[in-house]
Amino acid sequence: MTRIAASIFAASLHLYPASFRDEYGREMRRVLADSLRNAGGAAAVLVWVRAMAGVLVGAPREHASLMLNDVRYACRTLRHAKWFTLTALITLALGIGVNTAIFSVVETLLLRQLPYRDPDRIVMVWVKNPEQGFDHDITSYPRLEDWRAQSRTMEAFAAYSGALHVLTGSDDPEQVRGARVTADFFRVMGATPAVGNGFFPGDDEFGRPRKAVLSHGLWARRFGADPGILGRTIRMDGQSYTVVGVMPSTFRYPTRDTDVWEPLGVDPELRRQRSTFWLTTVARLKPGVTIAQARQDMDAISRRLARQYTEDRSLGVDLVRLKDELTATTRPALLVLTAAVAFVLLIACANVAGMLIARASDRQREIALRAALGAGRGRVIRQLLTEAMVLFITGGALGFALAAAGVRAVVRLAPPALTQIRDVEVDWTVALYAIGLAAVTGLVFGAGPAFQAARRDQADAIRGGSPRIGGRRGAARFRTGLLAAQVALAFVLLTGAALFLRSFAAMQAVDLGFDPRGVVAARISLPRAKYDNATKIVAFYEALTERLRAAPDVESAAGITSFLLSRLPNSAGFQIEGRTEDIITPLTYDTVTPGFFRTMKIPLLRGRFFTDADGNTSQPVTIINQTTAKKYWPHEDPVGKRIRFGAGADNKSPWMTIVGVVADTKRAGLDVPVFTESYEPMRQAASGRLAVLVRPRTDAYAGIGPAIRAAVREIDPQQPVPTIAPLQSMLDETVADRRFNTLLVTVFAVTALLLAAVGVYGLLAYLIAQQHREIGIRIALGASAKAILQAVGGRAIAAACVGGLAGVVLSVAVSRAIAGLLFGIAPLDAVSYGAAACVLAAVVLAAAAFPLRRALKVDPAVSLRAE
Amino acid sequence: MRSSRENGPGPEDFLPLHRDTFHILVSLADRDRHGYSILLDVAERTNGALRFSPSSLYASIKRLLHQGLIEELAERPDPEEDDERRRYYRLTRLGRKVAEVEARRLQQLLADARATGLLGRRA
Repeated sequence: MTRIAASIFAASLHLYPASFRDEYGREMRRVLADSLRNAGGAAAVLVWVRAMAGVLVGAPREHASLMLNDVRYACRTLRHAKWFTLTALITLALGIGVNTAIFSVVETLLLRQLPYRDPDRIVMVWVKNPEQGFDHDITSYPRLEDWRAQSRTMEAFAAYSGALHVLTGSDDPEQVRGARVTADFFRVMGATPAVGNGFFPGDDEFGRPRKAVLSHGLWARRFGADPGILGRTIRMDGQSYTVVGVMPSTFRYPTRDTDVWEPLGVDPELRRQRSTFWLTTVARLKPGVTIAQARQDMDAISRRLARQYTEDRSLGVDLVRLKDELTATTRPALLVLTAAVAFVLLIACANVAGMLIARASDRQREIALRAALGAGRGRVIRQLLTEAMVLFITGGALGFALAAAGVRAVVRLAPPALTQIRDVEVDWTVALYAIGLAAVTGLVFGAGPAFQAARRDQADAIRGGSPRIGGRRGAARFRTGLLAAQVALAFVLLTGAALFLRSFAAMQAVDLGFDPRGVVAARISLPRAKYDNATKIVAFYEALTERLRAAPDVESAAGITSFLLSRLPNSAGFQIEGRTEDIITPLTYDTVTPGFFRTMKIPLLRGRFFTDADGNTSQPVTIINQTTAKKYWPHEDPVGKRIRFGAGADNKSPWMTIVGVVADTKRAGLDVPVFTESYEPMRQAASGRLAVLVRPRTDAYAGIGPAIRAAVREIDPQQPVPTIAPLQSMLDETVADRRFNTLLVTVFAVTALLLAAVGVYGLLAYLIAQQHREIGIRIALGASAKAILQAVGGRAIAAACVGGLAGVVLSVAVSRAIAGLLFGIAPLDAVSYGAAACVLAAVVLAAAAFPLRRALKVDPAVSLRAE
Repeated sequence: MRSSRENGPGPEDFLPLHRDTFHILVSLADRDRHGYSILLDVAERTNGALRFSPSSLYASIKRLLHQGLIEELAERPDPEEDDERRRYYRLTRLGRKVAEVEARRLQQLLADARATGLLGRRA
């Protein structure tokens, strides 16, 4: 019994640091044995329990005190090795810093929960519309009603549609972005107003009094955060709305800049139209329902609807978690960036590990002495590991500071289109990440060198200065291995950067099909209440374009409903006169003023442009783009043919005569295929919302903005002119995220390249210092420069080559993975690979040249005398 | 540290002593002892109120060795009756001085307490 108790106690002593155990373990066992014998019986049990408790308290304390000692010692020695410490800290701060910065972005954009109740239960309900080429289409009111009535897995459905309003009142008129929503919209989203109650069931019925819920931003900006806002009347588009709520600042849906929500009053006409797609749908899953179950349910419903309605015969449904929907566009790029910074970190760590090895071999005599003085191997490893940890953790702290500053800079530099990045902040989660990352990498990359150093033959180390030829093979092999890994990783990053740069260049080289240079765009939205008929609208825009054209610096001016096409542009299926089948591939439609094509320099291929004679009394006309002409009239001239939007034999839409064919344009985006597009003249299809495009006579368009404002003010002083921007910058914004990602990947690749260069330089300098004597002997024995270089640099160059090959293999895998983010080039683009290889080879050779030159200058007399 | 580096720490620098430390120093005042002997002596003097566990005993011994208040004996006092595996400890000159100064400090405290009548004028 006593013996078992004693053994357990003896085993528990292993909780102590080895040094303490070796020194006092036997004595402690002795004391316990004596105490147990002395106490005897039940008292012995108490003695044993107290002894065990003592170990549990004492062991961690000894570890802490030992660690404190080691840390103090490490700080002292690191302070003495200034250059080593500085280089290692900069390297680590860079590696950990870029990782921390990217993590803060990932944390904010991908990992953080949406600020809504049970956000995982909110799903987007999209219509799958394969025949029209939309996999995520919006829907119509009758279909929404069918889903509501038939779904067994959804707690509720809500739908919305965007709107632009002109807010008038005490301040200047202001254009605000609104959303028309069903009454249960906020309930489905799991958000409640910060002030007021929001909407009640039935508020969204047609003809109800107008109500509005304000965004926190609008409330603060326009109404001074007045708590008495509830029940007050605001005027938008000349109509009165009663304010019934203010949303919290965290609620920013459907868009970040939505400022007003109003109930969706669906008029009886839209209530019936099954093929008018205008509603975006969100739904809340019932508790406990998985998205797969909900999908099954919705699939069954859409199959039923497909049998029931011809409009639904080719439609399906897709459910996407709201979170996934919102992060869909950023996720692939962020994953790429995460991988890129991980590579940078690995290279940085490999550098520091290599430096630690070099340092350990410099300190071999000190280490061997410590070992000889009774510090065991474990003790030496522990000391070296502590030193590495102090280095890495300090590097981590610096990296965190770097990340904090870097993120602030990046947020400031980020293009305005990347609105989400403004939410990114560096908080304690990020700090924890930085320190955690430092600790883990410190353990992993500090352990190798520490074990390596402790393994040395100590007697040998104490005895002599430089090693014998071929000595310390382990350390050198370890370092060359690290070098190969660094070169491989740097190669992957360089090819990645090259691929992105080439994609970006390819995109910039795309022929737009129009000339954006100098053109300034102004979005104008006339309030429906004031401009309630086509005559007023046409009069406004004709007066405006006329005035602008008369302005001294203006070459031409025109308008179009939406110049840059969105993912889901205004479009509809149509019929061709004389053909029986309905065409369901949508044809986009935009209203343009007569001067549009000339202003944008879009060439006419056939027929004619619109003229002022195309009015509301003449025959309806349309102009189509080349893609449409080729698709539906591959062997004939479409001019003179007639089409009409809509479907079915009872289609009441008027026939429109095609009067012209224009060249294709990349209005939908540089990386999007050209739609089948059509245009209608302003006088036949008036639109209150127009983008006014002005081409200046000279390249200086500074005066254009004021000219537009002045012209609008002269025609209607009540009309706000919101955004005026050069068309080029609007185009740039569409590729802003791509440009930004390319920039970041390139920056990371260059960082990696520099770190790898430092690694190569460090390794060679180390090898040469190690083999100083050997080199001296060889030179004394008449070895040629070539032989010396081969002996010294051969291994490093071989390692770099092996690393390069491994890099190619890795790059092939990585390129395939990022293929979806590339544009206009193959993932295995030879130019990118070649460029990366050349740059890497040049940098590696340059980094190797300095230490190698020094090797050739070794004076045999000096190096041999030193022995 | 009040004293300068060259002189090393003075006895006052260690005051006030931790209870365990003081008891160990006192225990070593009359003779050199091994660990178990210290444990027994302290337990006896405190009527069993202070019983070191092996851990706390050797943590204190390690600290006292490090501070230079005690030292380990190279040879054992009485090889006849002693178990040669035990390690013996002795007060250093500094250790003895520290224990004395601490004892005097405690004595003064006691005198102060008596003077105010806290403990009664006659013990």
